[in-house]
Amino acid sequence: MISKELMAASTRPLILTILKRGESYGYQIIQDVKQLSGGTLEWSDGMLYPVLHKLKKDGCIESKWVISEEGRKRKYYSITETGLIELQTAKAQWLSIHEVFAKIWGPTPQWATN
Amino acid sequence: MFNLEQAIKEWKRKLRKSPGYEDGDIEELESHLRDRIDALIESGESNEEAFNVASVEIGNVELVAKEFYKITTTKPFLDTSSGMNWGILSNFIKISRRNLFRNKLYASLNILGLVIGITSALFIYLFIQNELSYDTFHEKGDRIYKVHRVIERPEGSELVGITSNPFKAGLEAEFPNMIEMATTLGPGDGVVSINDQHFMEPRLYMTDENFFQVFTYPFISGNPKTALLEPYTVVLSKETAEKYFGNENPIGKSIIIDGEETFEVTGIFGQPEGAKSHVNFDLVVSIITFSDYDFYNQWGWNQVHTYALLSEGVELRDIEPQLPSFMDKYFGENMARLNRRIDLNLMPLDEVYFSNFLAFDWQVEHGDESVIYIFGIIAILIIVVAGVNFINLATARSVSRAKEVGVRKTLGAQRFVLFTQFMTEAFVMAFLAGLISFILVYFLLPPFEQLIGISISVNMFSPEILLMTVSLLLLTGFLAGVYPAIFLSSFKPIKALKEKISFGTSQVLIRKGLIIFQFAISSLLIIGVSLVNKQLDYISNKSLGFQPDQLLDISINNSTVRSNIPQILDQLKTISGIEEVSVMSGSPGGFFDNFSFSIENNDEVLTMNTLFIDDKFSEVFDLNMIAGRDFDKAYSTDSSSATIINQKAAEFLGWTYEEAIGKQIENKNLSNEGYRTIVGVVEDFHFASLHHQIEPLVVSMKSDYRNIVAKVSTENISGLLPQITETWNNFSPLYPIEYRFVNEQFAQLYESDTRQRKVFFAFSIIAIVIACLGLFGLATFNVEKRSKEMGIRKVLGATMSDLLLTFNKEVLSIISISFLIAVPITYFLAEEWLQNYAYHINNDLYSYILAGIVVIVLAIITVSYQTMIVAKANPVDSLKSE
Repeated sequence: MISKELMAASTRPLILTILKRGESYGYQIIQDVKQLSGGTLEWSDGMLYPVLHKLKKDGCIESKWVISEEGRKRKYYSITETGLIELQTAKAQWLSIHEVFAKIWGPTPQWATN
Repeated sequence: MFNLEQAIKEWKRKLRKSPGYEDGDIEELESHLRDRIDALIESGESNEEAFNVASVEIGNVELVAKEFYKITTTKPFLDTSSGMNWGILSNFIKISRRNLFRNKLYASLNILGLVIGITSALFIYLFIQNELSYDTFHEKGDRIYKVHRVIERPEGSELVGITSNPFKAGLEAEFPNMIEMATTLGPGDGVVSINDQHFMEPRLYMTDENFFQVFTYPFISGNPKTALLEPYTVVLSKETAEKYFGNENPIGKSIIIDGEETFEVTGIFGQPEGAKSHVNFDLVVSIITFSDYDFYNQWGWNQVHTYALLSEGVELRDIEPQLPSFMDKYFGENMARLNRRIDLNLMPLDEVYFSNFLAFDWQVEHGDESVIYIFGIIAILIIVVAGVNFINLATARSVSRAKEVGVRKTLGAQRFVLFTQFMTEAFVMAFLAGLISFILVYFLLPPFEQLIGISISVNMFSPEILLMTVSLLLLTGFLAGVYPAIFLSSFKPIKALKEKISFGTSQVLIRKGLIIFQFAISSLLIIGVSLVNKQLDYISNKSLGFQPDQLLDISINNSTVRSNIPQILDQLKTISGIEEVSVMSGSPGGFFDNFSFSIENNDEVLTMNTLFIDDKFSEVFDLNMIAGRDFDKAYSTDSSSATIINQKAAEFLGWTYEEAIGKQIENKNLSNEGYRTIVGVVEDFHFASLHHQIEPLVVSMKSDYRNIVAKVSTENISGLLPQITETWNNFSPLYPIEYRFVNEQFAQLYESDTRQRKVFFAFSIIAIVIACLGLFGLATFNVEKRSKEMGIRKVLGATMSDLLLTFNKEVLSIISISFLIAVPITYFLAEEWLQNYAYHINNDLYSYILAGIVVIVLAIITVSYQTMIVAKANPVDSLKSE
């Protein structure tokens, strides 16, 4: 289980990463996250939307309403220039943190992780 | 059967309730929900199962809304589930202020009602606080007991406040392990001379060296343990010392008392600020100075107060069983002589002040506990009535505020927000009212003290008083605000905007009930005022059997005068305007002796009032003899063996007036008296207050005089008094003359009744003002609600008086009901009260009818005023408006 604080911090770069691959809508984004994380990241579905709105307000993503083939209204999100820059910065930060931890904790013997 | 669409609709409705969602948000969430449901159904779940899982996965909509809200607005989210956010309190107050300013009349009526309520309650609090503060400043207070005698009388036992001096030493000797020490305090007065200055000191007491060890009066100089050990020593209060000696050190200085004895000042005591005590003295001399006097050693010479300080750990019940044997040992002789059982009672110090039933509790200040309860109840009633008033006015205005509620709800205000808004308005008004009340109390305290006849020493800015003010305003604000706030915030927005708000019968009933309650109390108080007035007029005008305004009572207050009585009487008689002069032992409207008599051929000993007089008695009082003859100087034996009784005494002893003549009776309390023959029966006259029946009275000639009573002509009294004073001063240059007209003396007996009259009057005005405010509110409400009806009536030709009649009809029925409720309660209370008077008016209908008329007239004026304003308006306006 990932802590609440860590989840909150990682949600934005995670969404941006998914949207960098192409535009998507809320339900799909959640499915992607679940799939990618193999179920380690558990969100309350509804909590995704406020984050999306915040990203939009900050100018990182754009949205448009699309009517799907089966006639359902969906709000599609796509990443913007600002979003890409934020993602770059976030990625650099996350990686440097990852590096520090890797150094401190050292290469782990195979038997210890299994 | 589960309906998926219906379930989704329900779910959406829940979302809409929350203010966080903006356009599209809900649709977006719905699309998400539907996607998820589809996926779940595809994997084989039932519709219901799919919906449940999907909605759970979306999570708590309330929390999601909160997150949305944070993004879309910078204002804090008002969370209905987790209480108030105080950040918007300033907004509430701002809106409250605007509302108050826009509706000045309504706001001032409301605040006025609350001011009256809070002010009255504060005054009553001050009064009760003051009464309860008596005798609380003594460090050993919980161990101090006042010693009383319990005297068995045929009509029941009586507690007597005064004791005699030997009790102190007796108690200390008999209970060495239980009583740490006892002390004696003797009330008195005297003239103090310092050099050539003379001061009449009405509170010159005597006591022993224990007194200042038992009671806590901090000494400024001198030693409280030794100051009164020696004869001819005196201790002064700080104020008295300053009066006598200014800034000089008073210790060691001499003062002369009654021009005879010189006393040395050995101590100065202070009194804690605001401290109240049942005994009050300015200077005390050492009682041992009088060790040669009779009173000092005689058990039967009762004129002092005795106090016992119990040893630590000793309870009253430890000592009580031993008191009867104590009395047998020391008081047995007296009991045998009086043929009465007398016991001892130790009363805890904190009960003494409220023991106003004590007989002969000389110079002791007493309060009335029942007055505390009555005032407490009145305070609660007035606060409730004021709160009721607020409720009535607030709900009456709901018609105009319904639109506001509708608009605000439509714009997204939740019920809780509106509730808070209305509560804030109530508290803002209560706060203003509290502020005004505090200022009012500050300035009106002196007249209030005069009204209740009690001085209240209080620091208005003490934490308790401030705390009390704040709690009162919070309480009133809450009581008054909560019902209208719930009621107003409950309006449905569409209804409130589209139609007129209609009220359920229960609301109308509550409002009417409140008005009825208010007017019942007002009626009760008005009837009370009228009855009290009539009764007091009755007793002050009732014939006493003599002319009290013609009688001047001069107190024989010193030994010089006492030894020169015949000469003084002779000189007084030479003053033109003085018709006759007599001397006597009692004082009409004042103190009378009470002695035991034995009757010839009867073993019984009976108690009767006694008066010792000279031969001018019946002339001074203008009394007629019913049977037999008056005292006569011609009979030399009259002063030693004749007596006169009043009609009541003859009846009491079971004789006709004629039978009484020649009968023999003996005063058992006096030594060397022997039997006296009844020579006459005098007509009854009132020598005591009209609270009591005329009692049996025995009149004899005997020189035991305390008062000179002069019958004066009523003309030129002001010229007469200086002459009388001059005559007095010839005999008694030191002691100032003390005189009083007998009618003033009687008026003083009715002082507490007069006070009751004033208090009643004040409270009935308060109650009627508040009730009229409430009625005004109801009238406003009615008139607003029926303004269209009035318009139509006017168009159809109704005149102003027709309209007034229509609207007053309803009010009259309400007033009548409240009156019908008030009458029996008042009748019962009035009967009780009138029983305090042996001579009283009939509890007749007159006062009730009068009060009824007053209440109805006031109510009609209130309602008509409001109706007329609206009725005068052009009917077009009310009919046009929608």
